[in-house]
Amino acid sequence: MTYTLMLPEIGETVTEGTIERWLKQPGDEVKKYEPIVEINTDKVDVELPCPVSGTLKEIVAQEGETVEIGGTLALIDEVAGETPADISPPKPSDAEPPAATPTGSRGTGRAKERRRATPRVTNLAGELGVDLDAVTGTGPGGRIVEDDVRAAASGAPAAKPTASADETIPLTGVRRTIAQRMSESAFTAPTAWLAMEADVTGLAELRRERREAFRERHGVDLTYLPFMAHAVSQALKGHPYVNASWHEDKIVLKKRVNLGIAVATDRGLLVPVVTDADTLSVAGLAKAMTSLGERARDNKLTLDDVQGGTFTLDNTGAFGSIISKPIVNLGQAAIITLEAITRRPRVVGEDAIAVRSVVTICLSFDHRILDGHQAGAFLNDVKDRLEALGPGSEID
Amino acid sequence: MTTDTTPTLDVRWLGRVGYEDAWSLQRELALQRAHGEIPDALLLLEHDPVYTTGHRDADSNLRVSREMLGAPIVPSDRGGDITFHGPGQLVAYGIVDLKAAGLGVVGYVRGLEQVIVDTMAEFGIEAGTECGLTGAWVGDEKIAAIGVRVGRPAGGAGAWVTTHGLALNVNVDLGWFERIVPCGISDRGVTSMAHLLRKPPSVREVGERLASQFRNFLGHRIVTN
Repeated sequence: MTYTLMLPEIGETVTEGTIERWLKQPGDEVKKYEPIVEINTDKVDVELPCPVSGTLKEIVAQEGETVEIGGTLALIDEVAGETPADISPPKPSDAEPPAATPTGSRGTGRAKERRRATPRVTNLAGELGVDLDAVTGTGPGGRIVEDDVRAAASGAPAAKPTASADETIPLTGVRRTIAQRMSESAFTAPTAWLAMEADVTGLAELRRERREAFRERHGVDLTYLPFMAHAVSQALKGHPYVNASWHEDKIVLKKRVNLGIAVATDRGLLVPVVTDADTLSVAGLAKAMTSLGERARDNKLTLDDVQGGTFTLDNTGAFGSIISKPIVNLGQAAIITLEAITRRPRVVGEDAIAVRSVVTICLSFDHRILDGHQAGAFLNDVKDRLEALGPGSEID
Repeated sequence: MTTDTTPTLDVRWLGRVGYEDAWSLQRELALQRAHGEIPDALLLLEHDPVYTTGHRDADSNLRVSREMLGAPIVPSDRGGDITFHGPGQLVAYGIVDLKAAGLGVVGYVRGLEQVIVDTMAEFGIEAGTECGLTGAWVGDEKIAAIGVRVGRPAGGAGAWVTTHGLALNVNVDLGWFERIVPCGISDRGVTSMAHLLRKPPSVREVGERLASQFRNFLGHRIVTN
């Protein structure tokens, strides 16, 4: 029987691997678990064992070729009657991506991770007949403590988390960078802040109307964010001081509009950049932002993806905020937020009240570069552009 | 409240070792680790001057002819492109059972990066990592290179074990790197701790700090009472 050797999952977030070297050639006999091929990915060479015994019949993926996970590597004439072995390298014991785990806080492996209790607590659980797997730990790091076991035995809810041990998280990587840049911005840029309300009932209708067709046509969900990105990018062209940067002896007005989009990831806040955002349609922005967001969350951004931003858009509404005061991204003049869109009573016309979809947009700006009237004019421009949207607006 | 026990890590300072000698020692230890005969190990050492490459395309990343390099080129079985090892550079090879450490292949490499960043922080150097460019960087310049191999040397009965690891420039002559395109990345430079600090530490001192960070990474949870 012919067995198809496929590229197994070789690591978290890895989607493909390059054939580094075949350790067997067609016609060679190969034993189960014997190394057969070396796969290279991200500075790691993985030596894959053969899952079955047999004869290597044909190499499908040649050395130097890049193959996706699940892609065919070779065909093997298999000795019948064997269950193929699992040849995937081990996976991390916790679902958390490693970059999000500060050094020092990783657990000590699968078995201990699962138990999360000291021997003393385990013994107590045995005495009281409590299944530790069913107990929620309230100790540090979710560890099960004696009170949890006693509470489980008596059927009472566990006591409130003990405050006996604090956990120390060493500052590393993205967290350290965020801390440094935020402090530097907060302590050097005199920041002022404005907020305005926009009636986006028309935009809400437009989105409702187009959402399904948009998904079919472009393959991505049509959210409010690309409309905001479009309004902001277009408005920036008419307000050069908002698309600018501060240098101790001069202000530089940026020619290009490169829009940074704040993205929450497991590793912390990342700000990938949509280059020349003012040249893109709403649909173009939606696609660019979806792709950047996915890459940010999958830890696949390149240096180009995060450099050169001239202005930042922060989608604070995504976590339900209705008003917020962001910190200006260092080296830029201002940052704008799109808050949550909610239905609110509004006075319409002379003396009527109607339920409308309303959003707050907030702008923090470096007062060294901009004064309130310029910032206000820009924010008004964005607001007007959002309010002008409605069924029939151009989005492609 | 008790703290978790630190899994045993055998740290060995080997001094100056030839590349091939260290390589065969790694293979031997990896086999023993896969059989569960020894705990995880960290080998700390300096190499005699040598250029090492992955399997393919070494010559395309040379800036001078092979004769002008001044050190041999050894094809290695680690991931990554060409790099240099030599005196003044701390080399750390981790022989780690991935499954026992609760790690995946990528998690291990990201962990090595973090170990370097944290070690540099102890010496007041702000190093960072960059998506898509494995290694540790200070600004636009690389201070440490990473190349790892993962295999199952004992076959189906044995564990998945890592070999190779990282090379950190402490006080190495950076001229060696001008003759190659390190790691195949052409638009970036290379730096060292001596280049960044007024008084650079010894390779041994850096090794001690790095071993301690590596131990942290492998599983010591810091809990204060």
